[in-house]
Order: sequence, then C-alpha cells, then structure tokens
Amino acid sequence: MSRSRIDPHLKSVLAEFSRNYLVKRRNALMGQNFEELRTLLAEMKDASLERNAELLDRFEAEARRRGNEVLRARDGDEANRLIADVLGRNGAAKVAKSKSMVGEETHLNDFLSRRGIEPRETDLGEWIVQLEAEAPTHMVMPAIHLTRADVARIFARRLGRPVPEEIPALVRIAREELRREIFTIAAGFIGANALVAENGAVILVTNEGNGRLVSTVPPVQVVLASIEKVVPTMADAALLLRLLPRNATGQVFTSYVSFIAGAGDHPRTIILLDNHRSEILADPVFRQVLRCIKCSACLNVCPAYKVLGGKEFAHVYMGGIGTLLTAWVHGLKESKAMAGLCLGCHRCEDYCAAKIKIADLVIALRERINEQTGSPLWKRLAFEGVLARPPVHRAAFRAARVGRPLLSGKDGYLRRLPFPFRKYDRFRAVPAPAKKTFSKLFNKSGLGGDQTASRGRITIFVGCLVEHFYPEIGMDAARVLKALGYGIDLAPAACCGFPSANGGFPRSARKSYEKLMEAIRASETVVTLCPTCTTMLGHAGPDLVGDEAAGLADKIISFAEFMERKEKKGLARVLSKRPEPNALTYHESCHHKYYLKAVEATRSVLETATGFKIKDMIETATCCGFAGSFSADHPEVSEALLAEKIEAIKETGAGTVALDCPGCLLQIRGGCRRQGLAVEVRHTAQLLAERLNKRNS
Amino acid sequence: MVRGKRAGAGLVKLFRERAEAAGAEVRTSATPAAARTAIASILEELGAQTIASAADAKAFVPAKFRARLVRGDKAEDSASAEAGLVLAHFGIAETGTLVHLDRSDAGKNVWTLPPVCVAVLEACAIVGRLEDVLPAITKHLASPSGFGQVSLVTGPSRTADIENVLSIGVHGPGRLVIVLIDTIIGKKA
Repeated sequence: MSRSRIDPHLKSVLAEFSRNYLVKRRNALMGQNFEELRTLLAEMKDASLERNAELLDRFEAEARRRGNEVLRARDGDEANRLIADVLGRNGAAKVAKSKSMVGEETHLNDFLSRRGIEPRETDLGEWIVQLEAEAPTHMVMPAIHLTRADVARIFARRLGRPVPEEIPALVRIAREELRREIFTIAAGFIGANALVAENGAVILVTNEGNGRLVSTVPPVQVVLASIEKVVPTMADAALLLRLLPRNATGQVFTSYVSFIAGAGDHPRTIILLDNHRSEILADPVFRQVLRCIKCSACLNVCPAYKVLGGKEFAHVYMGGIGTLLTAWVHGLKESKAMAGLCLGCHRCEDYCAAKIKIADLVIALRERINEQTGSPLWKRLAFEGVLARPPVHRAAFRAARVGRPLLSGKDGYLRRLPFPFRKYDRFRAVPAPAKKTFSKLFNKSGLGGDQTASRGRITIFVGCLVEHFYPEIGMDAARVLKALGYGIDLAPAACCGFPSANGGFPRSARKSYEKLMEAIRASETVVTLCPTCTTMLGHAGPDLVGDEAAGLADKIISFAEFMERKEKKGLARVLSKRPEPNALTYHESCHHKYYLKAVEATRSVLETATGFKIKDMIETATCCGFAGSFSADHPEVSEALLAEKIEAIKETGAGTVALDCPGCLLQIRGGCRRQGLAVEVRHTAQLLAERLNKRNS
Repeated sequence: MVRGKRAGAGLVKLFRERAEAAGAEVRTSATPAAARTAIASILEELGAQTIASAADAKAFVPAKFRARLVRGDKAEDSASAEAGLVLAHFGIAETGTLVHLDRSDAGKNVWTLPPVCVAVLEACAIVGRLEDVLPAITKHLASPSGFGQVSLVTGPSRTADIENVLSIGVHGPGRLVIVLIDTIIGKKA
C-alpha cells in the first residue's frame, strides 16, 4: 500500500469535521439520556427484526390500502429493473433523486443510465459527486472530500461559465439549477429513513428540502427502501427520530421530516429490497448489524476513517459498519480490505445509536474472511505457529535477545530498517527486546515468595510487551503491590490470545486463552498491565469459548482499576505525595477506555496518589495508531494517527505522558524519540512506583 | 385543527428559543387580527408581488395581498411567489418544530417552494415533545381515504455539504418566519 492513500487536505477537513461533530452532538444530546435512548432503540429494532416478515406484510397491506404500489426485490439488480420499469412505463426520461444509500448499494444510477434514463441527484453533496462521476464518501456528507474550489470547478464545467469559489454562490447555483429542471422531470425517487408498519408511512429526513421537492413535484413517485427499515408503530418511529438527527449531525432535529403514507395526488411505487438482508437476519451473531439507522456517528468518530476518508475506507458503504454491510450486500471478498482497516479501538461502539458491537463484529467477520477467502501466510505463521505455542513464542524472543547486539544500538532501540522497510520505523523508533525478561528479573529479585503477605496473594499477568520489551514496568507494578502488602505470584509468560482473535484466528486464540486461563483460574485476583490482555482474559476470551459462567471479568482487573477500587488508602500510605512542577497529560488507551471503561479509575488514581494535575490533550481518547498488527499492516495510517497524537501532546506542554497500555507506550515513546521530543512516556504503574516512600522502595 | 390545553408560558418560551436556534424568526402577535397586520408588514418588507397560500391559511392573508395570491396547486406558481403563507397545526417546543398535517400537494408546495415561508402558529397548539403530538399525526395518517402525509419543519432549508459550512436556503425556503399568536402575552402587553 502506498503512502498516497492519505490525502492531507482531506485528513485535515475530516479532523475538523470530527471535532465539530463532537461538540454539536454533545449540545444536541443535552437533556437526553443517550444510553437509555439507544438501549430502547436497540431493543425496538431487535424486536422489529424478530418479526420483520410480518411487519413487511403489514406495511405492504397498509401502503396498498392508501393507494401505493408495493413491490419486493430480491437483489439490487431486481430492484433496479423494477425501478426502470416503473419509470419506463410512465415515459420518464429523467428521474429526480433524493439521496439514498440503498440506491448507491444497487448502483441504480449506472443501471438507469444504461437504460437511457437520466438520474438527477438533488442533494447538494450527492449532485456534486455525481457531476464529478464519483461515489459518496460519507453516508450523510457525500462530498466531504471536496473543497469549495473543487465544487466551483465542477459547477463551472457543468454550466460552461466561470463560477466564484464562494459557498453561498455555489449553494445558489445548486438551487437555481434544480429549480430550472425540477418542473420538467416526470419522476421523483426517494429512499426511506424508516417505514411504519401500522400505517404504511415512509419517513424521509432531509435538511435541504430536496426530499420534499422530489417527493411532491414530479408526477410519478418511486421509493426504494431496504427491508430492515420497517418498524411497528409511529411511537417507534418517534424514538428513532429522537436519536437520528442528534447523533447524525448534532442537530436537535432535522429541517424536514416527512411522513408519506397516502399516495396523495400521484401514483407511488414502493420497492422493498432484501439483497441478502434475510441472510443477516438469520445469522444470530451478525443480526444486530440491521439495527443500524445510518446515522454515521461511527464514521464521524472513527480514527481510521478520519485519516483515510470514505474513498479508501469504503466499498459503497463506509467504515466499520460499512464493512459489515458490505460483506453481505456486496460480498465477503469486497469487505476484506475494509475489515483490515478497523483499528479495533471500539470507539464507534460508544457512539452507535443502536448499540451495535461494530468492532467486535468486524473481528468475527475477519474469521469468516480468513476461512472463506484465505489469509496471508505470515499471519498464519505468526498466530498459529508462534503465538499459540508458548515454547515457540519464547524461543523466538530468546533468539531476538541473542541477536540483540546486532539488531540494536546502545539506546535500546532497533537500528533503522533498510529500504523497503523504512515505512515501518520511519515514524517510530522500535525498541529492541529487553536484555532480560520480566519473569527472569522478577524471579531473581526476591519480590515474590513472601508467604506472610498481610493483604493476601495476588497474581500478576504482565502481557507479552512487558515480558519481553518493558520488564521495568512489571517490576514497578510488583514493587507497588509488594509495598501495599501483597504476596505476588506470576502468571505464565504466555500470549493471552488477543492478537490471534483480533486477526480472525479464533482457533489459535482459543488455544492460547484456555492454556493461560488454566494456569490462573485458581487465583483470586489477577492484576494486569495491558488493557488489551485484560479485554481478552476478562471479556473477549470468555465470549470466544462460551465461558461466561466463570465470572472472570470480576477477578481479572487492570492495575489502575485495582488501585482505584481496593487501594486508594493504601496508596496514600505508601506513596509520598509531592507537588509536581511539570504538567502531566494522559493518553486514554482504546481498550482501557472503550472496553474496560477504566480511564476514570486511572485519572482518579493519578491525581490523588501522585500529586500530578492532568492537563488534557485534545482527542485524548483517539487511538495512537499502534493497534497491534495494524501498525504493520497499515504503517501510513499508524503514522498519521501517531503524528496527531504527538501534536496533541506537544500542545499541552506536558513533560510526561501517562498511559495504561504498553502498546500505546511503544508507539508514542517511539514516535517522540523519532521527533526528538523530550517527553517521558510512562505507564501508570511506573508513575506510582516512582513515588514509593524511601522505606517502601 | 386539534386543540389541546393552552401551552404553558414555559413551553411557548422554549418553542421560541428552539425555533430561533434552528434559524427560524419568531414574531409574536396578541390576536389573529394583529397577526394579519404583522404578516402584512413582513410581506411588505419583502416587497412581495405575489404570495402563495393553501386553503387552510386563507384567513391570515392580509386584505391588500388578496389580489396577489396564487394557490399552491401548481408547483411552478408556488415557486414563482416571493413568499408562502401557511398555517402550522402544531408546534413542538423541544425542537422548535412546526407540524403540518398535509391535505394536498398544494399545501406541501407552499411550505417548500417560495424563498420565504411565513407560518402562522397559535400558542395553544404548542406541545412539549413529538411524542405528545403523535396521536394527531397517527390519526391523520391512518385514514386510507385522506391525503395521508405529514410534514415536520424545523427552521429554514439548510446544507453543510460543501466543506461542512452551514448554508441556508439550498432547496427550500431560506427564511422561515413564524408568526406566533399568543393571547396571554397579548394581554400582558
């Protein structure tokens, strides 16, 4: 993959868009209980999906009773044919279209053009991309990748005269041009935001008013809606409308919401499209994908989308949710590249209006992709041949330690990689394996083996990065636990299985996970130093093996959460609190924040126990770009995200960055080093250990 | 028109705030007659030569504009009028939204096509939330013989499709002026 996949202008537009979106959304949700509303919406959609066939029949009957024609289409081609037939029957040479992602899904415009019917997009953004012969790059903002200068150029070409590069003038042109044409166009085409079974109403939500023009002015009317849009009642529709605008664009309400039940003065044909949605409905794991109300919040907060935009991270649908839809409506193969672009940060899941576990489902999808379309050899080797086999895993690192003097400089970082591998370490210095593993250091230190510990025994699981690269973090955590009065047992130095699970290799993941769990199942409490391992051991792993009854989530706990829940007083006793002259900023690691919901615990521990005052960086909860093997698969995206992270860190003027994830530490510390930035990057455990009282340290 | 209890002053205030936040202009009149006067002055400010109006807002057409009235039946006529005069059946305070129970395409044309939309709303028709007005909307949509459409309009037509910069009046009206008839406020004044 070449670096040119990232368009710097687009990246800065999307970054600003995302920031504005977050502010607007927060304001629009003021006074609303988002969690409660989205839980209700998810339940409503699930219940609707459960009886989808019945609701569609009811919708069809009610819509017919009100004078509409209702047709069913099995796939995109059939939908296109039905639409072309309606238009042909009515002698329409041109059709005015309101934005419809489902129409994009079926490639309706191409189909109509081939049939000699001219599609005329009326949504401003959609019209712009149509004139440029492009596809939308965002579900709500189709032309977000184009500047006003681009639009002026596109309009000038269309009009055959110069056009000013000013937004109001461009918007005026769009109005005038549509007004000139609309009264002569015989047919109007709209999508649907929802269908209401109880009265056959189509709900159409637009800000521009083009939907109203298109659904009122032309004499012939066509609606294309996918089958999951149907909801039972108007009350259900109202719930959807309470969330959709707020979560989509940060508007309290959209300018125009139309309920169209009666055919009114025009014949109206409504086409209900399946296109493999029945298969999603029948799939217990992926069914929740159809809860989606296409608000695009997931795109608006997606770090990878923000860097790449909706040309790169798309087939027709974009981003994580788009990956899932694509796998069915366009095929597993088409979704493959997209599935690789999900960082697995889970940020989208916090924003999804329908509580869809987007990132979890993308991981599940990777498994199917690997099974059915094959996987790269190096990944199969890494996950199945090395990580799932602890002896091989250990031997590999042993070899790396032996080769250390050859590989690394005195500073502990690997030597610069030669061309053509420069893209992997150009932006981030990569550490060499530590001289000694954490297990070795710990066993020699005498920190373990205390049978008379006043606070009982605790198992510590440090994860691969600490074991092999950052043993000092493990030692610091152990010293803090020991000072608090715990006897420490070590969990085996083995992989938790996360990298395999994340890559779509559940068999090796299960193997690693079960082996490790066997060794630590008897422990009362397992303290971890890596949020990703914690996610695997406490949540993803049990899901993978159907081990929910074990209640493991409660006893496997991140270092920060353990301190917050159990040892706030203890820390006050063993740490010397001193006022810190340097500001500290805190990077919220993705799994720590979005999966474990543990960042508040860290914040509280850091502020009360260390005397640091946290100075927040912007977008502190946005991925640093490491994301495990992602940074090897997509170094240019990793680089872009890291650059933004480091910029944000610089802006705070902080001398120290705290974080909870050794992966983020590798990325951010390596990036700061490449930039020559004198910032300490420290794990929470290190910041606590530095402050141990003399007599405790 | 279905009437509930008169909306409390709090609701009217909230409606006004939210409608203005969405980009609508709100003018308050104490009586229907005063509303007509206010409408006349809005239309005069615009220098409107022709205005479009559907049947339900007929009572609010100022005398001097009666001769310059087009009906909305023909879309082109509505589009050529300088302003549309409409009657909203409800207001939703929480979102500053106007609710119109459409009875014909003509009604929808008048709301959508002219560059300025002047909407009359009685304070007694303001409800708190969309959910409060659902029974009336549902009833209107239920009848198989009726026109069976409903429009919710919040502020003027808007787009942010170019560089995410907000622009007004792309395909619908660039101005939405709400003439609010509030007898209680009228008495205080």
